Amino acid sequence: MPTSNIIKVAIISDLHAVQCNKDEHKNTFLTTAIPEVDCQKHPISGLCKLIKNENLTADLVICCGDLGDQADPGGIRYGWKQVKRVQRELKASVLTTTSGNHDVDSRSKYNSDPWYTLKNLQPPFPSPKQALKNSFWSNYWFSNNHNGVRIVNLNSSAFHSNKFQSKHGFVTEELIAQLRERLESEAPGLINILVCHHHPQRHMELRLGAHDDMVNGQLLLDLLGNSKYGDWLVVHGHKHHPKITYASGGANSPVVFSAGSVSAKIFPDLGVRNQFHIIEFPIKRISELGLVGTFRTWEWTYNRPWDAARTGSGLPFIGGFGIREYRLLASRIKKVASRRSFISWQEVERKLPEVNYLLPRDLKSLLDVLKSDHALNSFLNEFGMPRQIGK
Amino acid sequence: MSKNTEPAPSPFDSFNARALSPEIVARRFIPSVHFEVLSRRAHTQVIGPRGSGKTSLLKMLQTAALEAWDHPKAQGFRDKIDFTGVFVPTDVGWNEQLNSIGEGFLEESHRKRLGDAAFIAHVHHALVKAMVCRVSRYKQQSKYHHRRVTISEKIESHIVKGIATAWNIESSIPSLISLKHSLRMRIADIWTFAQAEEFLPLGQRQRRFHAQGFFKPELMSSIASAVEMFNDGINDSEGRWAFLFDELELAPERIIKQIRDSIRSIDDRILFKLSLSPFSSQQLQAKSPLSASSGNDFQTIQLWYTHKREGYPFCSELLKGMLQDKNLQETDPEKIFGSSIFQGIDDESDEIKPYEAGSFQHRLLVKMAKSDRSFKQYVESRKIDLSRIGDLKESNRASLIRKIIPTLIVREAYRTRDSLRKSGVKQLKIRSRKLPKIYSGIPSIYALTEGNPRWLIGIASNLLDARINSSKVSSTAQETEFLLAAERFISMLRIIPCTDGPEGGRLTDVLDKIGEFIFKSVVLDEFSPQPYGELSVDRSCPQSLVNALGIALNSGAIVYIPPNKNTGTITDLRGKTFRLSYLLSPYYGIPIRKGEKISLSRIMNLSQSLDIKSVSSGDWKQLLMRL
Repeated sequence: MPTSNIIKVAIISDLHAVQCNKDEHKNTFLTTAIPEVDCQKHPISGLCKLIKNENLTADLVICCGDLGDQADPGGIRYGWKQVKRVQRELKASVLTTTSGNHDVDSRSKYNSDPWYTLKNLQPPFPSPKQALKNSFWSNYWFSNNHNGVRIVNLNSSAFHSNKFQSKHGFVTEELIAQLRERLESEAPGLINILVCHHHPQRHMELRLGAHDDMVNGQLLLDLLGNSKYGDWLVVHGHKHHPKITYASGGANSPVVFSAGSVSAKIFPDLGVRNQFHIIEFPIKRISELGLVGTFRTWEWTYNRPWDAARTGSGLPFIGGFGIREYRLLASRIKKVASRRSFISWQEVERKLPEVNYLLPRDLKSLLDVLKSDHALNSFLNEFGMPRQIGK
Repeated sequence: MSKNTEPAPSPFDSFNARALSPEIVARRFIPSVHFEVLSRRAHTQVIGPRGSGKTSLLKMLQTAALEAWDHPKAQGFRDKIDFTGVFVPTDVGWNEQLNSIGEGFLEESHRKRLGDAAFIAHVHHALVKAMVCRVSRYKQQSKYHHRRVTISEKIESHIVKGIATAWNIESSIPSLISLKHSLRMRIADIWTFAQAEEFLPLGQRQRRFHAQGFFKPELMSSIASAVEMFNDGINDSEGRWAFLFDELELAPERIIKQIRDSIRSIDDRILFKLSLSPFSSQQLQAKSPLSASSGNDFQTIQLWYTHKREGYPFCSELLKGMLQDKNLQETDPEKIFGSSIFQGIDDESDEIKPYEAGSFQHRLLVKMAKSDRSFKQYVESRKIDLSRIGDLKESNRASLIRKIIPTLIVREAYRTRDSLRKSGVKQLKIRSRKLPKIYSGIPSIYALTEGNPRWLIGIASNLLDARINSSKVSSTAQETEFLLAAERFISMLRIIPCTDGPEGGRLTDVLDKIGEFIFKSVVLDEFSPQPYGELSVDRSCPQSLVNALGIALNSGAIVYIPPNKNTGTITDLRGKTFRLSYLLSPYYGIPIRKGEKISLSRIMNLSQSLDIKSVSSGDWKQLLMRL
């Protein structure tokens, strides 16, 4: 069991670092040419400044891959250095990083071994523990337990060594069978997190396409959705489009968290910004309610400091996950607000803490139901969170 | 926007309080005597040039500022201020937007209606914001409270429903914070409505205007009814509310007229505190809210110091606060910036410095008597025995010696010994000193910055930040910074035209002539115990020049010397007396003191014959360096 009341997990993804002599690069804001002292232009230095100013900490840091861009060895090494730097700033004892498609030299441009750069990173990638490292490169996954949190690190870019496979993520049926065997043999963790680079479920809004879905991703999610293996959070990168949903399946289907990119240049049509997230797991609540949690998101634009995410730039500053019955909650809120002119959302949170664990889209649905079914209006603060509800 | 309401240029605009929250303003606020007056329960107009602290003063009357203010005198003010401040910014950008509503496609009458509706919505938003600040449920825990009230949700709901009905607005939730949000949306709706009208048929415009709820409320009656509803809700029926209009001269004239017309009739629960620039056009002045109500009880606060010493205590406290903010161990400004060469010999000083042989004063007098022929004549004509000035009666010493010392210091700094040409014609030489070490130290820093907090903060910040391995700021660094500040100021003023002025040139051409003339009077001419230092604007001055000087006045480049205290804004500079800002003294090489008065037209006429005119051509600094 975790020893603290709250487990904090920071997510940093898709750095796309490159080694070059110019500040400007078509794919990324993170180049070795930008001085690290420039906290406005260097996205990771800016992030470190935010961490310091806001006194942010984490128990665990997750990086969903794409340390570098187009397999640039210098970029991968620089990206790895920056990830370790963020880990240090957050005072996190554990770092889980997986491999992204941009970290694989699938065209053998720099070395005949597509994973040469990753395999030779210092400190060792993805883990300093030799057994875990071996498992990652031979089985393409490993499982580890940190203070009651079970983490599976899955290499969805494992088959990127040829031209066809490099276009999408892949998890083999053999790997899923191996994982099932492991899950059968272990007691489920209170918190279970699977980290991979590619999206295990279709993620094609905003013309993002379906060409790069993780092959067999749905089988993987179905496995994790089996209640006897515990409640799961799947964290992935790749799309640069921050989003949080429940996977298809039953009531126990995994929460799927698509992390934003911290420093890649994002296709403008996506309408999102570079984002960084911290998830908080309330241990006591999880014992009562199952896997619930909240997250906070910060956003970055070039030449500006990191700041709390505004609505419309990806994931909101504050959100949650784990409670799926928003209609039931709406009825309970109505009782709390009855015979009152208005009530602050803080009071609702105090009396019905479950509202904190609604997905942003479910919170919106809840407010819609409050209005349509119970004649309760709401107005939101600058971060899109309710401030008061009333008639 | 007319030329007279154009914003005057200001150096150090980054220190403008306009963009700062009340809490941030409160963090550094030093209460001056002006704040004492402003905090009284009376209609008040605050008049001052740019940077003189008008916005900070008004912002400090808000509940949020008073509650965040931590100062030995703060509690006294919190206890004393028995009204709620409603701050209404009337800044330039906002006013430009207001004026541009429907420009080019709407009739004037419709544009006015839209502009008025936007202004009224803006005032309503400010009023509800002030109400929110009073209600405990919306406040975080804080050390200090000012006029906080605790009301039930039911009462708040009742107040909001009443106000929303009176203002013809819907609030999704009957709470003050939701009403505030709705008013913000109303302001946006007005812009959207105006923009949409461009593409809609003209024929049904009247009907569409009539259907809009935001045209219904009238400014004064709507705020009076809202104030009454809130007061009744909190059981304080006589509670007072002060509407703090910043830079009111930028507001639409019809709004100013509305306020003026309302002042006499409005109930005494509503106060007006306005900030204005010193110079407003005749038309604006005629419509100025307070000028027309001379019989009413209103006060005028003049934010510039006719006598420089009046500003010293405020400057000293402000500078001490800055030193504390920078966590310096030494918080005595004089120990960091040194003392001024004028310290203790100023003609306004009560201190008597020793004049015995060997003293600074004695050495200066003797030196100048040797090198400056006209000064020697002055000494001889008044039968002054320089070896015995220490024995003179105080009254004689004050009239004969002490008052001329500042002039002599400047004269000595810029002149070399008188010499003769071969032809026998006397030829004057000017020292080529760039930095004569007369514009540094305490209290010269206070005088040079005119008690203008933005100037003092800007210059002192630069000086303190530039220190390297030293706790002190050298006099050279200070003079360089003051010269740079003056040059920045001059280059900002350079864009102001005076098209049909004496030379059809720029405002700075006129300022240069004034500065050069005073320099000539102080340094180049025969020694005079009272050289020129003030100017009066003649009746015959062309309007464009007067307008340009009006902008100079509003920006602080020239300073009005009123015949009496607190004379309010002025509509016409003609017949009035001014001096150049002391901030420009290092630029022109003139003393930080007043002088004899001369008319502007005489300066213009005489400057035609100045030898230095031909070479200066508006760049006096260049002249000094070349000479």
